[in-house]
Amino acid sequence: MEEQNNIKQDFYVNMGPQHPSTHGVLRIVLRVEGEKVLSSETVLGYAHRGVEKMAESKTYVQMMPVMDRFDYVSAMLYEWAYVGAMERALGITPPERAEYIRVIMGELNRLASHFLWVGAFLLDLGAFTPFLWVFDARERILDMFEEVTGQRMTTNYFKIGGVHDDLTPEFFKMANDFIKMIYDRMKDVEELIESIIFLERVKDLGFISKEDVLDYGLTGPVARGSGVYVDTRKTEPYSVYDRLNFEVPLGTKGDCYDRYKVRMQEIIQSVKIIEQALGMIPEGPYTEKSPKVVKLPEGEYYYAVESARGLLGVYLLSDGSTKPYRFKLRVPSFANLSIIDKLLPGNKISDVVAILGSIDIVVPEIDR
Amino acid sequence: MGVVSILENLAVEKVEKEYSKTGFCHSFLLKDKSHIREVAKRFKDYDYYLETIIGYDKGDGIRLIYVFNRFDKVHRTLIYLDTAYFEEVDSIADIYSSAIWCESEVYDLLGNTFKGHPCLKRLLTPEGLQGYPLLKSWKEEE
Amino acid sequence: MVKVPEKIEVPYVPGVRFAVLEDILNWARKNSLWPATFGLACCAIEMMAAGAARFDLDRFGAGVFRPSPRQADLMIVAGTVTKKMASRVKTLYEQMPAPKYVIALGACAISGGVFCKDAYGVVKGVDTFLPVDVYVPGCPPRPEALIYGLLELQKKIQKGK
Repeated sequence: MEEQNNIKQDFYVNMGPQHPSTHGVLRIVLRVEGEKVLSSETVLGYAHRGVEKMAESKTYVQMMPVMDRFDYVSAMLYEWAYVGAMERALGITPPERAEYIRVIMGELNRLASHFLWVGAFLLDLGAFTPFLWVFDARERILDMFEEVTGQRMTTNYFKIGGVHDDLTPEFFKMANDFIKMIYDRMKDVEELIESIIFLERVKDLGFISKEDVLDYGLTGPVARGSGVYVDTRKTEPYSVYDRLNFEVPLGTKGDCYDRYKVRMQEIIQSVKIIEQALGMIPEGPYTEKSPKVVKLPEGEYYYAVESARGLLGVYLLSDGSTKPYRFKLRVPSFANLSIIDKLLPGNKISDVVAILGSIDIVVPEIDR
Repeated sequence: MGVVSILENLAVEKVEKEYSKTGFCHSFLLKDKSHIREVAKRFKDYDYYLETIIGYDKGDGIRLIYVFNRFDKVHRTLIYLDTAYFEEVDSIADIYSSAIWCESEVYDLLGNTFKGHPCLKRLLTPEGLQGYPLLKSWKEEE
Repeated sequence: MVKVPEKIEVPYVPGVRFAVLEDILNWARKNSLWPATFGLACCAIEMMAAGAARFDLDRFGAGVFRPSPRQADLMIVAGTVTKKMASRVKTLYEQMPAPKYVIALGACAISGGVFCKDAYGVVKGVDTFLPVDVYVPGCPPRPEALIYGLLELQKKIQKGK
C-alpha cells in the first residue's frame, strides 16, 4: 500500500491542434506530473500552405491579395510591407496625402488587433464580458474600413504609389465619433478587468529577461514588456512617422502583467497618432501613377514595418522578370513563439494558457 | 564601433549596398565557411540580434543569408554563405537561440543539415512529403 | 382618468395535439444546433464576430460553442484545410455523435480559395473527404452570410434527411 502511494508517474497531455485557447492550429505536447509541467514540445505546420513556393509562380500583382491572408486581424500592415519593398525597388515615392492615409489605416489596424487580443486573452482566462465590449469597439473600426474600401477584413487597399481610393467625408465623421468614445470605453474595460482574480492569475508569471530578448530575437510588445526599447517606427522611421509625436510604453519586470499593460497603453498611443494625423492630412492626389507591368530591377530588397506583434520584414529577390525569384517573410510570431519551450516548465497547466495568451501569436503567419 | 572593424581578421569580402534603395546597410560575403561561428560570437558581443536566416537555390548551389540587426538604431548587416546542395554547415544554435527554429526551417525547405544542432527535424511540411520544396528542381507528385 | 389597456382575448386551444414524431424531433434538432469551435484561419474571426453582440447567433439557438466534439452536432469548417491537418479533421468528425452536420465556410474550405493553384500544402476543398451540407461562399463571408447559411441548414433539417 505504501509503495503504491509513492509511485510518481509522468504522462503526456496533448494541447492539440483543435483547442479553444491556442488561437489557431498549434500543438503543444506537455509532459506533466500531477499538475506541474516538466517539459514541453511545440509542433508546428498545421497551417503550412506553401505560400513561399507559390509566390515564385505568380506575378507581383497577383501576390497582393495573398498578403492579407497571413495575419488577418491586421491585414493592411502586411500589405504595407510588401508594397514598401516594391516601391523601394522601383524608386517610386507616394504623395503626402497617401502617406498620411497609410498611417491612419495602419494605426486603425493595430487597434483592431489589440482589441481582439484583449478579448481573446480574457476569454481564455474565463471572463466573457470584456470580449463583447471590445468586439463592439472593433466592429466600429470594421465599419470604417467598409466605408472606405468596401471590405471588412481582408481589404487589398494598398497599391504601388499610394492607395486605391480616397477617404470620404463620412469616414472623417466616423473617426471623430470613434475617438470621442474610445477613451472612456478603455477606462471602463480596464476597471472591469483588473480585479483580484485577474491579478493573481497573471502577475509574476512567465518572466522574460533582457538577455533572453537579445538571444531569441524578440520584438514588439513582448520585448517592450521586459524594458527593451525596440520599435521600428522610432529606430528605422518609414513613411511620415518622424513627424508625429508619440511615446513608446515600456514595462519593468517582464511578466505577463507587464505585457498586458504595454498593449493597453499602446492602444491609447495609437489613438493619439490617429488624432494628429487626421489634423495634419493635406489635400492633394492620393496615388501616383503605377506601371502597367511590374518588373523589378535585379537585386535584393527588404522593407521592415512595425506590426502589432513585432518587426515584420519582406525580402524580395528579383531576376528582372515579372515574377519574384525568392519571396521570404520575416514574421514576428516565429521568433516570439520559440521562447515558449523555455517558459513553460515549472508552471501549472492552467498557467500555460495565460503565458501562451500573453505572447499574442497568430498561427498562419508562423506556418506561412 | 564599425561593422568592418568587428569583422577584421576574418575572410570576408564587402559587397556594396545602399540603404535607401535596398534596406540593407552592409553586406559581406564569407569566403571561409568554418568562420561562421566566430562571426556570430563577435556579433553577439556587440549587441546584435539575429533577425532571420534566408536561403535560396542559386542554380548551382544554395546561398544562405544571415541577417543581423541592432535594437537601438537600424544597422542591418548581411552575411552571405555559399554552399553546395545538401552540404553540412556549422550550426550557431548554441550562440543564438533564435537559430534553433530558423535552421530547422532551412533544413526542412532546402535540405542543408547543420552540425551540432540540438534537435534537427522537419518543422513545417506535412508528414510523408518527399524532397525539399524550395529547390527549383522539386516537383509536386500526385 | 388613467387609461388602462384592454383585456387580451385568448382564443380557445384544445389541450391535445397530433403531429408526426419525425417533424417534432426535427423541429427540436434544428432550433438547438451546438457548433464545435473549429476555426483554422481568417474565417474563424468572422465566425467569432457572428457569435458576438452585433450579429447574435444565440437567438437562433446556436450560440453555445462547445470545445469538445463529443458534445456538438454541427461542425463549421472555417479556413484553409492543409494536408497535415486533414486527417485530424476527419478524426474530429468521426468523434461527433449522429445526427451531425457540416457547414463549409469560406472559399478555402469549399475549393481551396486563393491557394487552389500551385500551393503544395493545401487540400482543395473539404468535401474531398467530408460530406458537406451547406456551402457559404465569400473570402471571408460576412457574418450575415453565415446566419443565412445556418437558416438554410435549419430548413434542410426540418425537411428531413
